[in-house]
Amino acid sequence: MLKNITKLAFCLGLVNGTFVVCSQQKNNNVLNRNEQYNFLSENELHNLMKKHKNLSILNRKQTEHILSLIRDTNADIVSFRKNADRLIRILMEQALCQIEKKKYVKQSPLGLYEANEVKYDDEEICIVSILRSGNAFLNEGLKVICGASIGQILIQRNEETSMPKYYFEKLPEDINQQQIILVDPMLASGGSASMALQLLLNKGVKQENIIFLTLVSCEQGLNKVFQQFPNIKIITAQVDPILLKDINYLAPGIGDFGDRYFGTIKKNTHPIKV
Amino acid sequence: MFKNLIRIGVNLSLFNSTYVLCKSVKDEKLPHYHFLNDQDLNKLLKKHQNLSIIDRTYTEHILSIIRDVETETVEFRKNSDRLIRILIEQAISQIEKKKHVKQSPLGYYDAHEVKFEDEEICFVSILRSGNAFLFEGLKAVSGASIGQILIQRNEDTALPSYLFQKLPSNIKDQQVILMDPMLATGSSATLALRILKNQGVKQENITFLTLVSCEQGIEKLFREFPKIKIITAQVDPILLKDFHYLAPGIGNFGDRYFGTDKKSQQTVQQQ
Repeated sequence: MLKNITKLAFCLGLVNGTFVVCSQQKNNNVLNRNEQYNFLSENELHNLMKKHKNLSILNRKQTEHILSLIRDTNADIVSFRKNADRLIRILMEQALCQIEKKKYVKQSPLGLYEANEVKYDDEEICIVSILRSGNAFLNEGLKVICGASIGQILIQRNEETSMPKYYFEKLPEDINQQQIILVDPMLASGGSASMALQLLLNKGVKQENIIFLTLVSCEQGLNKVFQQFPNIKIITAQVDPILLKDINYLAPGIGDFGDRYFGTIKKNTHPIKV
Repeated sequence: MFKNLIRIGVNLSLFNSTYVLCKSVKDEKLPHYHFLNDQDLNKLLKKHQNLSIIDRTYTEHILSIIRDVETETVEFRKNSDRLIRILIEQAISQIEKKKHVKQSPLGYYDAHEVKFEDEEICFVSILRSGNAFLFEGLKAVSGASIGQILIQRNEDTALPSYLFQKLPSNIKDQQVILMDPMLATGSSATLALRILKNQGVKQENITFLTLVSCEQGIEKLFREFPKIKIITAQVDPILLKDFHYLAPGIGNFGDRYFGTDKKSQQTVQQQ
């Protein structure tokens, strides 16, 4: 009888062993969510900025804290929105400061001074958002530039092929005479951004008049956009190191910004308190 | 010479009078719309139990600035936001409340609080104009989810076509506040409500917010969805048949709020 028991134990041990090995193999093929990503170093960021003259990356000290709260997967929706709005406000102010300024002489209560003011009125600035996630920028955008016009382009990325698909657009009629701030939270492969930029160019907008704002981007996306449109300006809060090939998501990235900001996918369902 | 002068004078005055006459005839072509009086509004409220029209004294001033064709974009946005905030607060006040007993610094009191948490409220906006409601909506309910349905009205046939939607996956468990600034024929709203119904949302959980509506639109919605609630700031008297625009209305709310059509300052004047 002892022999049978030992045989049984041996078989169980084998089964268990194969199970452990197989599950480890499976984990190696599936996206390992516990992987640690390191951000680009200062050197690499400098190199990027030297390579692309029209690229601006926000100062790391300004954005470290806020971005870290946004990236956190456990962030609840209210704090996600609050911090995203803070970061978007910083980006918007940066964009405004890069619009052409004109010199005047004005009078302060004590005397004259040289005034450098943005050359254009509020109405000559147009914020174009790439629906759906880009709409998150409009909240803060309208607070900064109350009189700006707003244009919208709906481009959705097909989840399987990662190819962008154009659905719909509504842009001001005189858009070819306006200063454009194009907004989209993520710049991954650059497919949707290129499609939107091409649309704007078809409407007669000049490249020098476009500023593209994005929260997180990656090198491949930046290269692609600058290759096709070398004269636009891009302002990003941080450049992530990796673009995951299969799903074309940035890593560590933010996840799907639109879903997190608009709350359309709930990961952790809280029990309804009675 | 005097005779010639007199002739010139008579001709000039003839020209002048014909010009004034023609101008006044042209001005008479601009119709003058009168709003529904309180009696008509009361009748509407009695007919539809689930309809709420916000008190006229609240909305008169703000709506008058919004309707004005001369209003600039900044003023338009500011006043629309004020009105939207009033509507949203009204909508939240109609959501089911629950009674607790809570403690104030001096003693206990009966607390009536909205039964649902922020996350269980969902704002669904009918793009593109409905998006204007989201800015104020998020200020009022910071944790709400946001869904979007893109329906565009074909300008020639006035029939709505559905293009795109992105709704929370658990929307059938949520209190839905559907938003669209204008309710004219009611066809876009009907399409959106059908989409929500297909997702499993119950009619009692839906509140439809709109700035300006008309009787035909309200009746059409209530016929197909009798149990939803509708809150509107004002009911306009006329729905222009050819263009399906409300009169006096606001014009095209989306274009005015988002500043995409500066030439549309001349609203639809032909009848």
